[in-house]
Amino acid sequence: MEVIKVNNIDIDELKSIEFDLAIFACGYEIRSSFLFQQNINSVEAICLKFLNHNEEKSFEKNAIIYGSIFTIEQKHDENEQLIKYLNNYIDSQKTKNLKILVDYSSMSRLWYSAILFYFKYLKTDKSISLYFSYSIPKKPKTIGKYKGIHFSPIEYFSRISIPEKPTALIVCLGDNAFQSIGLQNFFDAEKAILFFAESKYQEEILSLNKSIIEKTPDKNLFGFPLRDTLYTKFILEKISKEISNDYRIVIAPCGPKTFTLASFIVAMSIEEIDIWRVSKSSQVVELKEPNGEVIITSIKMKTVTNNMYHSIG
Amino acid sequence: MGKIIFNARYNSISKIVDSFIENDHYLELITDSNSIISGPRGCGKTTLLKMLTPEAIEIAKEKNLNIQTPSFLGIYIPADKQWLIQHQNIEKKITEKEKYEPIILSLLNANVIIAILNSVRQLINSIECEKEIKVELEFKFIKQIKYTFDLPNEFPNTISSLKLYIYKIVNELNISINKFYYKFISVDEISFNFLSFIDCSFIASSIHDIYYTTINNQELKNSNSPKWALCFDELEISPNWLVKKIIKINFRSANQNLLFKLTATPNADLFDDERYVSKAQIEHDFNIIPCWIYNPTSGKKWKSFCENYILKKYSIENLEEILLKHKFNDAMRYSEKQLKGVTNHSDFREGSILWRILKDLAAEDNDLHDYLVRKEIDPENPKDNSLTSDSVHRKIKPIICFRYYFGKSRSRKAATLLYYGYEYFIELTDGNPRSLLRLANLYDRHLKLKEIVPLQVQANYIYKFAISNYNDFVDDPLGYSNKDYSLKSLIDDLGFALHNIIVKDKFTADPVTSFKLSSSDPAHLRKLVEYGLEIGVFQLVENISIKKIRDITDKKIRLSYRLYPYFNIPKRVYKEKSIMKILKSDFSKHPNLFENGSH
Repeated sequence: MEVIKVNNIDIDELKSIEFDLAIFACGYEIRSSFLFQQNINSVEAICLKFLNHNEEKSFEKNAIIYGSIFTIEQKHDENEQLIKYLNNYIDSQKTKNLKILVDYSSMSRLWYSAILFYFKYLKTDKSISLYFSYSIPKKPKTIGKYKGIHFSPIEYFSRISIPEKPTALIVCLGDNAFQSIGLQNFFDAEKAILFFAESKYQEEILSLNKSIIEKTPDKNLFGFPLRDTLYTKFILEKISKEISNDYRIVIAPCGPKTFTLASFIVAMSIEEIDIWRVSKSSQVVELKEPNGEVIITSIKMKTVTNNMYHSIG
Repeated sequence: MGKIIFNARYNSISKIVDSFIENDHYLELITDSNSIISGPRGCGKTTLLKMLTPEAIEIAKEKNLNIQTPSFLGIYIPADKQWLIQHQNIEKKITEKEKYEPIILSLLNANVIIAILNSVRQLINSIECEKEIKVELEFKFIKQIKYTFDLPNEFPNTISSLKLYIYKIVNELNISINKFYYKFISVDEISFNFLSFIDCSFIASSIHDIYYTTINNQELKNSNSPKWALCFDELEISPNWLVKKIIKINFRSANQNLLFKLTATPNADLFDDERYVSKAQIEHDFNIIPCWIYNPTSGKKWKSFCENYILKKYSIENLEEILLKHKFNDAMRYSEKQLKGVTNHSDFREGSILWRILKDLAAEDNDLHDYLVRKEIDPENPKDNSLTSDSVHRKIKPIICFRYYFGKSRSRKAATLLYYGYEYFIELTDGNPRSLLRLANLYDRHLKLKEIVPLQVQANYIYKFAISNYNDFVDDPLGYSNKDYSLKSLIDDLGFALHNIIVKDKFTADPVTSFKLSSSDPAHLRKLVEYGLEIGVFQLVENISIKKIRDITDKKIRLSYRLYPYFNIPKRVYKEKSIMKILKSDFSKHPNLFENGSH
């Protein structure tokens, strides 16, 4: 399926939609059950439950909030059960236009990327509208205090490329400067393009990432509005298209999840983009309380038979 | 990208040729045989391979550079870590060997074809003829490739179109793998293609034949059809089975049209069959070119390379005149001006500064005192003589100076001058051209002016150089894992342990400065050392023989000299010790290092 339309919507609009399916996550982050408690109207709801850190009190509390809804327990880097569930679910649906809510606030990147890419590779005559919601957290307490990163390409998403062209690395700066420097060294990237979220923590993030910013030309530094995924997607897509003839593009989203989502949406339409997941090498438990604000992105998808790819050659 | 001063991977061929200095490694590489270039990151492997390409040969000839050219043409085939990890990802999900091997092979073959097509384009461009003839030549060449490999006739007969077709195949493969991940198709339905089951040498050899047959049919050249050398850069980071397969298939059988030039890390495990290896070596099937300093001869070659570089870039014929000869005596005289009673300026002569320091140290260090007595030197007047000058005083000089500054109850005084001078400039770069460029860059202003660089300035540059090397190594993200003992932990533990052994522990004239791994060491520790060897944190202090290349157990290894000024370790190789014995006190902080059990 292809992405037909991407939009930003607000929480009131979200509350007015009757969803066919809502997918939530249950973890130790306090915000993970926030949206579930906001009177969401859905025919069916499931919860993806983390297998680790379930000893945290906040985890237990979230589990109680979710109560008896259908739950899939899986590791943060596994998707087998989720994919199986989605296959069964789609097969059993007679509705032509499915509306699915995905609260990715506390999901692992592999979970919500799998949901998106599942629909990319799904062949169906249905039209699917995905609504990705993200609860903004209060400021994390551990900002910039860790060192060491782990990263790898997104599993369940193969983007092997021929290493003919040099690498252009697109990094969203996060609260761990070590991540962006490490990535730059690892990829031996000829070009680095840096993104940062325009927010009240902007100066702090820029200051933390000073060393990589100093090495990057000003023209390759872009701010993006945290609450406007559509614009973020637009600017990311524009840059990627401009450089894709000369570079192999790797996007490494270290910053807010809205940027990661925008990266996935762009990678669904530009085949040459590879996305790597970046995480701290040692697990840092941050309980992330919601600040009450939710960012929602709607993505409408449809099977298109005559796309550009099929016309190559 | 400010941090990387020179990276041949992305530099233009023209820039590489301009800065190239012919060395023994290159001369070995241009012999008409298969080769393995072995060495850590930054040792110049990519530069060497790129110098074999038609473009480099052409530029060298055009510019009349005094560089010997090979009788073959190099086809540069790049790879990188991104590529490797993408492969590993597939192997994680498609676990059956017979399913994932064809996938990886088709990707390798796609890479080889793209590299060959790029080289052929250069070759056609360099032919002196009308443009129409070049277009016709390209048309016939691609048409014949389509016929030979039974490719569809759906794209025009141009190199660009064939490249696009190869990219399309790779794209289809990705889509099909992703469909498998999401259970839309089974593993058997993954779309294999004409590249999946053929050996890359068959493809390369066939294209070689097609190209030169087309050329000859056009009557553009004589029957001269040089061999093509497939130059696999960074092949060491490709899956191990793939590297072994390439070597096993291609090094054994002599191919009329092809040679293979591969890169490897010093500890690479390249051979399945040791019996084959020795046999092949005897028959001169291939040569191994070690690109690091492992003995005095390789050290001399490095020195000569550095001198040639400085001569070429700065027209300086005698670098020692600018950087001065390193003397501990001069360093101490400069930094210890406050010491009274220094009346002689020769090493260890009565009244000299080194004599004074040795005397002071012996008065407070019983071990040193006893050592001197055993060597029949009076600790209260430890002057040298013809019997002790070489065997004792010269040997202990660096240790004495370092203990004086950093020993028990002493702390580092304001910037010491223990690192400066011509020899240090050369040796601290440790056989690594990228490091040489980095250090020369710091000295650049003085070298351009051909002015003597003051000791203090040199010491500062070298300290800066060491810090930047340290930061590069400890920031390397692959040095981290889910264990809390990282490459940074190992570098820090080892550096500080060696420093302490030399300057704080019991005095010995032959302290430990290098280490060995044993077969019972933790697997994670071994992995860190192996990765450290790959990126140049460590150096093997011996040459590789074919058998030794397989395993680093019991091999003498040291920290790179590039890190010595950071940890304040004297630049000499003394004796070695088991790594666990060197580090044992520090391991208690990292109990999970042992979780994997023994190797």
